Amino acid sequence: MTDGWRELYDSEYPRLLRALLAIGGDPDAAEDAAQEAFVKAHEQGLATLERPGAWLLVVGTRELLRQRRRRRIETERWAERGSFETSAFDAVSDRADLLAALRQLPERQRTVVVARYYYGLSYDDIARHFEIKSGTVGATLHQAIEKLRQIQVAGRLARGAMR
Amino acid sequence: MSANEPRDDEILGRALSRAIETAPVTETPYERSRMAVPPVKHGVSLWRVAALAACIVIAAALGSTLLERPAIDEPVGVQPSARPSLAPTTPQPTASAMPRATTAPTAVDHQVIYFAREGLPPIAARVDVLPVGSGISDLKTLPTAAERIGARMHALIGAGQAPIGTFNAMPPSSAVQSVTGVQIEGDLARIDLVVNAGNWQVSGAARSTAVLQQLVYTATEEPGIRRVLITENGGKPTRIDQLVIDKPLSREDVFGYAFRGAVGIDQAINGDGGAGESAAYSGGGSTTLVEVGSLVRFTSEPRDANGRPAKLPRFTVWLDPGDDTQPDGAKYTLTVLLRYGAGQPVGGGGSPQIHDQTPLRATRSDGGGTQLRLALDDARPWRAFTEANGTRLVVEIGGDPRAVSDRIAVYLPSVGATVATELRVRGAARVFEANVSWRLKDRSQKVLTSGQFTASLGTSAAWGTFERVVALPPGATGNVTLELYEASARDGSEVGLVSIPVTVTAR
Repeated sequence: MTDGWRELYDSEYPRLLRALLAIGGDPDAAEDAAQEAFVKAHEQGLATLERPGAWLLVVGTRELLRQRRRRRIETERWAERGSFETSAFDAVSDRADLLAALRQLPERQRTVVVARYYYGLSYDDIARHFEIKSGTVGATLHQAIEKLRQIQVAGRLARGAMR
Repeated sequence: MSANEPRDDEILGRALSRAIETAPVTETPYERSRMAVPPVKHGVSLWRVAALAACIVIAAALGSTLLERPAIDEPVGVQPSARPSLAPTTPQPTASAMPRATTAPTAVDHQVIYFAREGLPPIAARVDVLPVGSGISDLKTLPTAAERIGARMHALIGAGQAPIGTFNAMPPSSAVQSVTGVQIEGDLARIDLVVNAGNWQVSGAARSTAVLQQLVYTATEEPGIRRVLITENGGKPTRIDQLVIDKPLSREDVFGYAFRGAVGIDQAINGDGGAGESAAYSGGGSTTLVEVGSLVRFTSEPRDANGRPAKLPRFTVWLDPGDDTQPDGAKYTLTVLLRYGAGQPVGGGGSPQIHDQTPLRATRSDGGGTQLRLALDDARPWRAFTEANGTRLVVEIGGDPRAVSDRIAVYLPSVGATVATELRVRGAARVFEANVSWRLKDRSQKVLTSGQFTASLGTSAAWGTFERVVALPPGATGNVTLELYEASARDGSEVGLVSIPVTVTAR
């Protein structure tokens, strides 16, 4: 009855929502963009989507960034965030802080990091889908990671989060 | 670049992946996704501007996390046909319907009973046969209001499994056995129940309240009925555990909000987006209607002739008692009126849209798209404000009763939310000089941190909005309570207090 849409939704939606949350940091916007991506996919037709997962990520990200630009005008910037410094290595809060650190990267870097490490897309795929020059994906990724590392405790937090 | 770096990159990447994978999110099930419950685009007009080639969108999930409550599976989106059905044998074809495939109902469906929700007002669910075993599949075949009320009450008493996200607080049928008499006097229904030995077999304030909500909402579902007097065993006063019922009750007496929404045009919220006295109406704009949990959020964003966001004209929003004997009517009507300059196009009445999603039953637009009426189940608190520099009108109805007072409404953090490092506080307020006070208390009511901020607007009929991030002090772990209130300008007393329990994960 659902012609595969339910299956696609069930398998891809949770991952997409999480990816968009990681990129944008706003649950409302992530949900909105994820839903919009599925609606767009539906309008497009399942048969035409070669790799629906990657396709949804690309469209969802675009949607997210479009909304964010709109939202930024209307809401003033949030007050200063708390420090990322934590005393104990608790996995849960370390992960949250890692995500917070991710959000300090420029949008493009964030997107590439999520596409590579969370979605496991190849450099070529990332280049093609996100319209980045194929030679620069690796460099962008490395810059992003380097920056995360620089955000003081990120490296430490990473190991904490892996436990 | 040292030899270790690629490996380190990989470790960090994997950690990130894990962090993303384990971040707390509220997932919308397929049944409530926009694919299954499509936003209605172009064609079914809500804010009647379709004839003028406007873009009309009823978005479904804008705020699915406005009230993120992972424990309760809340309805998201306006879903006229995806309401939970109680009939065990009836499949719900609409739950997986494809976009634009639903046939629009033309009248509000009163063949419903109500189920309770944790800390929230009850919501309606359709019953296909009522009472159970009676074979009556269409309530409208019953000739009198008293019979229809009786049938609904019987169905409520015999209701089994509650739909997802709700619970049935009603006692077992061994306790409340049947409905013996229903009498109608004007807008009052008198209902007598057979309660075995006068014992409802219900204990606790929360449960008793939930039972009462289910009873009152279900009994007053009948058009024309606003109040119900429940008695037991031949007209005796009823007592549900500690809850004594000795007078007629309306939905507003039991819905759980500390305040009811202001009723009457003299209580209207008037505002102005700054379009000016002679503002012309382009006929264009977009409208969204979102329902999340107990919150209905309506937004209107007019566009100018070139499709750019346009400032709103003066507007008036008010709540009136409604006429629920009309096919698209309900107990109350909220009217949103955009007041463009004279000589602007005025169209005829648009066709009604049935939503049947508590508390929103139907919408109807008139005046060529400058007036919208929302048919509502009760007079729960509502508010109106502008956003985006006067180009967006937002009207909200309800919300979590614990997060809503007569002057402050908080969307984030949601009640019972879990946070790690900071508290994102978002909401609306109508307080003196826009000054909102807040404090964070620990379990023992000790104040951990406190402060003040200003909303976007104060001392006006329209509400202002606020969004702040509060850093959690080191001592804030476990169960804490965020309180927001207005410090009265007159005597410093705290008014309009809302208290939102939040869990802070150990750091």
